Amino acid sequence: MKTGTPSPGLGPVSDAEADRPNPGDRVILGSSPRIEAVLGLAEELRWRVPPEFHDRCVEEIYGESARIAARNVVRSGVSSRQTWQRRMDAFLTGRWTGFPAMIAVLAVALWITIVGANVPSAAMAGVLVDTLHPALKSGLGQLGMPWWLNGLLVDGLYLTTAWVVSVMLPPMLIFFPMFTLLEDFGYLPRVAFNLDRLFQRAGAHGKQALTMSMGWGCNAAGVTACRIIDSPRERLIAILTNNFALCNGRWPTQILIATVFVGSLVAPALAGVAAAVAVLGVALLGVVLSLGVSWALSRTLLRGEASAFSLELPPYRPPRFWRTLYTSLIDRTLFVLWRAVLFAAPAGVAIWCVANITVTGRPLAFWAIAGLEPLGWVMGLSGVILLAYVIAIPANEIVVPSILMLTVLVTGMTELGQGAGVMFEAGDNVLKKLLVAGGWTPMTAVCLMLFSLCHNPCSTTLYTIYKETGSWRWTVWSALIPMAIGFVLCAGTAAVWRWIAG
Amino acid sequence: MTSSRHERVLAEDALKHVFQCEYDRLTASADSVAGALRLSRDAARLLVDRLVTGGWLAWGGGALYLTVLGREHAVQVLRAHRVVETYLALETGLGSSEWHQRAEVDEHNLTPARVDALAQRLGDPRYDPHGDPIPTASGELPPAQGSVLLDWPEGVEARIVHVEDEPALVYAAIAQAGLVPGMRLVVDGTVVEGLKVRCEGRAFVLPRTLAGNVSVARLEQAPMAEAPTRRLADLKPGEVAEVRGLSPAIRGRERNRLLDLGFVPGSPVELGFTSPLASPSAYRVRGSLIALRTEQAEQVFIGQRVEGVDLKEGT
Repeated sequence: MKTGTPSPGLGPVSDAEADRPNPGDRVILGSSPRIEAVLGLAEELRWRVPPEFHDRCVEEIYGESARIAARNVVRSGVSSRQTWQRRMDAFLTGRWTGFPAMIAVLAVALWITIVGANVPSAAMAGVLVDTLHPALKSGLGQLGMPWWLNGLLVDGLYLTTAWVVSVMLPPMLIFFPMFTLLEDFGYLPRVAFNLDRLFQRAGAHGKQALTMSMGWGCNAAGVTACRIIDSPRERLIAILTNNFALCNGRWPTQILIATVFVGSLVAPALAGVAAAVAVLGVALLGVVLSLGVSWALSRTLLRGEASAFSLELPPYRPPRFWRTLYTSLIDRTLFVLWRAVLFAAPAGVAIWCVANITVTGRPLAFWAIAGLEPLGWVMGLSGVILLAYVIAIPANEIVVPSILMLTVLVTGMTELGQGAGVMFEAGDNVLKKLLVAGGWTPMTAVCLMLFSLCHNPCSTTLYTIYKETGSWRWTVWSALIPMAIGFVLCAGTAAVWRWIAG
Repeated sequence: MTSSRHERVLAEDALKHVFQCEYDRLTASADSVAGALRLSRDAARLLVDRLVTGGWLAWGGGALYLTVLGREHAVQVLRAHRVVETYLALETGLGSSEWHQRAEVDEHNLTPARVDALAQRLGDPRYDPHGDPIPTASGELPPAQGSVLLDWPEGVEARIVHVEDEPALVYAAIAQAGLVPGMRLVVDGTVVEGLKVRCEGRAFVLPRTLAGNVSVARLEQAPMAEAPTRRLADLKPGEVAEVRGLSPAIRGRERNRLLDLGFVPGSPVELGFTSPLASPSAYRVRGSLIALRTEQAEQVFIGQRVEGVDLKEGT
């Protein structure tokens, strides 16, 4: 500060002062008349210096450092690369090409996942379920393990876990690295760039596009990623709506149901495409819901305007393929898989129990299904599906196996399954036959796909939401909002469907 | 002070009102209290009587005055209000229309110690986002400054020092017009609709009702940066211009972030391309590509077109 005033307080502090224990600067400073003078001057200048002084000072420091850098840093650009970069941007963020390109990329990623995951998934199920399971069961039986313990451990715990691993691992091994490759390439920030206006209109933060796409991998990870949003209001909106991003535990359900029911409506050659389009439709509906709920929240519970946001668009880089593959395997795939296994194992025990513990001569599951049936009917679903969702609260991945197991129990088609409370892998035809016997129609399939998008988050995500928000109230909201929307969507679809079908 | 919370809030609001009257050299009365607090005349009189009996207010020459005790308390409440507003503006990302209302609630809940802690965390700010000085912890406040924009002479450059935050509708309209304390402006003349104003690269007509709620003062010193002529949002694709500065409307973290990204005085900046939905736009600045929403680009001041500069992106 060029005031011309000598700086009286800046001389050496006397030894006596320095030796004194430090009970707070103000006390020490207050003891010296010179320092008193400085404080007085500061107090006076406090109001004399113009209000924008601080901002201007900071701006000048930045400006000066930028000038120094400009003088001393030599930049060498490769012009052909620049042209290439600009062409990519013109296409991927173009007025007419930006959105079609985005949807096409997502559709192709889904299609590759659906088609590519079939083979390894079947192979893994062949080993883990068809070979190892009977071997384990008979092996332990011969060792003299009581039937109930054998059932609980092998049919419940082991088989559920095996199912989750063989159904989840292959799609994750394909979907996550593709996602990471796109991120590495520099495409994800462009997606946020294209979508930003929509999020702004919805009163949400621009970075919500990024947390949402994280949610496509795993909602718990997506909720944690919401930390990148500074404004508490917008962070809460992003957390509460993350569940509308179809997570990894639900992709397999969507893919399976779409393949079995939607894929079979068209020629076999087109089945993969039709299934991918159906799943894409559900995923896009999720984006629309996420925006709609954000909009509603920012006008009701979390009123406010969208705050400012700036986004760096990194240059496109050729992705480092192997490295990406490795990190996405370690950071995402194994993490999510481990979590799924952790939750699937106890759920497997629960499934076996509801199927095998009997109350007044009927399994527990029977009573629960009967109780949930009316609600299920209204939603175009069934008591079996709703019970499966209750059992699958720990992990969405086990919804389909739970449905299958419970259907076998109810229809008594044990020749297709492997006994009460036993999860199994079924081929597409067997699966369809079984589900149709369980009362399924294409309407059930569509309603299930909708319900799979809109229901409460899994328990890990709920716990993460609680940890991130520190509030039970918001945690409860995060479960109630999608459930209410799911109910309305499913009941509406079912009503219209039944009305049209007569 | 009083038993029920509601009564305490009313009493504090009354003290604040009398303080503001004294600060603006206006006369406070039971009727002005009734107007400011939206009370009936009788209720206001009762309230004032109680505060006089309690030793917070005193009558003198037909006007209400604060006692020493009353002033001390009024300043505490005012400090809490302005510190909270500053906090909301700097750290929460809440819109400007919400600061005042929230601070009106919080000012009655925060203890002086918590207000001090909050102020310290914010770096002991001197002014709130409306340009009002924040009383120091010891209660010091500079005298009122500035004159109403309506009375400002034509052609003399001025700095906005204060924007009145009540009534809320007028305040929202001023915010909409983009006027924020700290900005420089010149009045070019008057027309039927209001004042012709030039402000940081924008020329527009400011309605009289709005101009009546804006206070300006003479520039104390030569401006540190050259006057801007346009805003970043005016840039055309491929055009390069020099950044002149950031609007005072950009505060806190957002301001630091933009500075970090290279929007500093003297940086050449170029419009790269625009999102399919027309906002945000991507700008090339200091070797990187930065996307800003139109509202933000509106807050970056730039100069005239610069020729012959090629902005390379980093590799």
